[in-house]
Amino acid sequence: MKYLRLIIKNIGRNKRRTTLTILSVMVSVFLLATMQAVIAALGGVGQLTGGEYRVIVRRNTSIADSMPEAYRQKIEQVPGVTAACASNWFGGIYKEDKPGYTFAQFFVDTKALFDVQFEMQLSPEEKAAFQQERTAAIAGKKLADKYGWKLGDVIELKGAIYPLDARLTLRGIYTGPQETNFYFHREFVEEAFGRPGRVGQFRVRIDSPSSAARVMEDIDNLFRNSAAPTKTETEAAFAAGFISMLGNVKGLISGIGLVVVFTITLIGANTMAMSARERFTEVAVMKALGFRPAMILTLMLSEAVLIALFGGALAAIAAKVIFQFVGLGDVLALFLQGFKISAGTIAIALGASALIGLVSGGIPAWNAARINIVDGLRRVA
Amino acid sequence: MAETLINLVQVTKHYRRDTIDIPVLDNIDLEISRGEFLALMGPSGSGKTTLLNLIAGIDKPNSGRVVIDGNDIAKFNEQQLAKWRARHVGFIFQLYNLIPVLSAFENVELPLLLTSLSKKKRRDHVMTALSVVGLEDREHHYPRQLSGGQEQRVAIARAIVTDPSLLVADEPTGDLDAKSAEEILDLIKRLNEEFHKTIIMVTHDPRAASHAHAVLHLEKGLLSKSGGVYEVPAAHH
Repeated sequence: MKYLRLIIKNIGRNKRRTTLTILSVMVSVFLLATMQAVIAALGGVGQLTGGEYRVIVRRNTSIADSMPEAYRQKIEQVPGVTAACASNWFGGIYKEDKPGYTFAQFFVDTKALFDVQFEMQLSPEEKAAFQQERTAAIAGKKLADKYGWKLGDVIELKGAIYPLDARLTLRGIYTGPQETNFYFHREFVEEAFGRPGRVGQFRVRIDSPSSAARVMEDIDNLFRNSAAPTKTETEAAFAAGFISMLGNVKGLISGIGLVVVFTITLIGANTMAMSARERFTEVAVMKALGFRPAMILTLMLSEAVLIALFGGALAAIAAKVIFQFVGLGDVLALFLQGFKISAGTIAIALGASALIGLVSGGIPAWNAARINIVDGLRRVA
Repeated sequence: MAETLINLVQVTKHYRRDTIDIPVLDNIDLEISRGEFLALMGPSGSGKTTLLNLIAGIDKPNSGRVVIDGNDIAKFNEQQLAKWRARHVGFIFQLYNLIPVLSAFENVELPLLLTSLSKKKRRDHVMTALSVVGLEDREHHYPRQLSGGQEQRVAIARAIVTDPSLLVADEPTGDLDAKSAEEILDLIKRLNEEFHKTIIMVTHDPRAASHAHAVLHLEKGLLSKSGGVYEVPAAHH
């Protein structure tokens, strides 16, 4: 503890540079924490929701392309498949075209939906009401809570992808996984457009997780030589792809990774330059006074780690505030059910910060510890 | 007869620059008594600072023995030397070399951080050292808030705070005006006379050297007189 004041005073030696260093660590660790949360959420989709019993069939070209509705019968005949539900992303605008009013809307086969999304909890009355009325809709509890919806409410969605304004009545609020989704009748949209019979994805229930690989291969083989070949993937992989409708997630994550690495490199270079330029003589004096190399190494590494940890802590706070309290995380959570800045994510962010400090400060600290006293003093005199 | 504190035996030092061997000190023999105040003089490059560095344990000879208070510090490793310096040597530099981000108090306290003294004891020691140099009222001042003379006083307080037996000063007045230089030299002399510190001071300035008991001349790595026989300025005695 008696060295803490010395360490803190040295950190405050050049306030502007220290602030910039802290900010650069903060930005990079913030990005790292966000990436970590996205990756954790992607990994969790298939594992936590019963998704291991589902595969998703989509066009091999793009998630935005469609395929014939007739595929369903063929898919249902594949051994291991127990149900298939046609599903399309509606992408309508609720109230305002702002992130706060964005949620996942699908028009689906209302009968097959509950066979495939078997974990959905809905009362028999609500389920029956939903299935019987063509303009009925159901919403997940989180979504209903967010907008204060109750049964019987009319929800208007202005078509953005489809030139159709949907006026729907909420007949059920379900619990279970993916409580931020909104489902309504496929029939409703099909009729409005003269039954084009195009499907965005088939949600397919399989009999066992162990048959997933074979089923996926069999389905894709079925349509390999058709005009609309398919790409079947696990629900988790599909979720990742689905988010890519918002942008190139893989590219985004890779880009973030590069930014993080680049920033870390800058931090390291900055810290090294800082040490090399200013501390040479002082370190020589301290060594002359009796400070041993190990102590010099410890002091300088502590400075680097403290700066990085401070930046990391700010990043964790920023992530928590932005994604949790400000609500930007709600947008991501619509597509990534498990998206949140968890304690684990914060621990990883802080661990990464400490590592940044150790790595960026390691070389200058090591060099400082090895400074020759005579050389250091000669630089002044 | 005065007790010998420092005994250099056949000390040789040379530096290598690229492939060239540059001799600095050549077979130096020197004895310095405890409580001595010795000035080292000589032209630039004569080896004064190198000799001072060897005695202070921040450099090692290529050959010979550097015996301080019975210990041949030339045989010490880096760890042992660091520990020895912390206990036995106080440093006074030409440019003071205070840590700019630390207050006068914190600068003086720096060597005490290496000891096991409590915070209160450290404070007592620091305030005592600051009072010896007459700066007890400047404990919260930072180096940039002090004059050159005051900075050197803080540096002297830092040098004596651990109560070392040996003080080494490399051009301690080289960066000061005449008045401040005289005050610093008086202070150094006082440390020798009142506190019985053995002091070795490198200087170019004959007036500064005149404060010492004895003056040793170095020329091209050789002592003009060796074996404890010093040239004493007539004005001093």
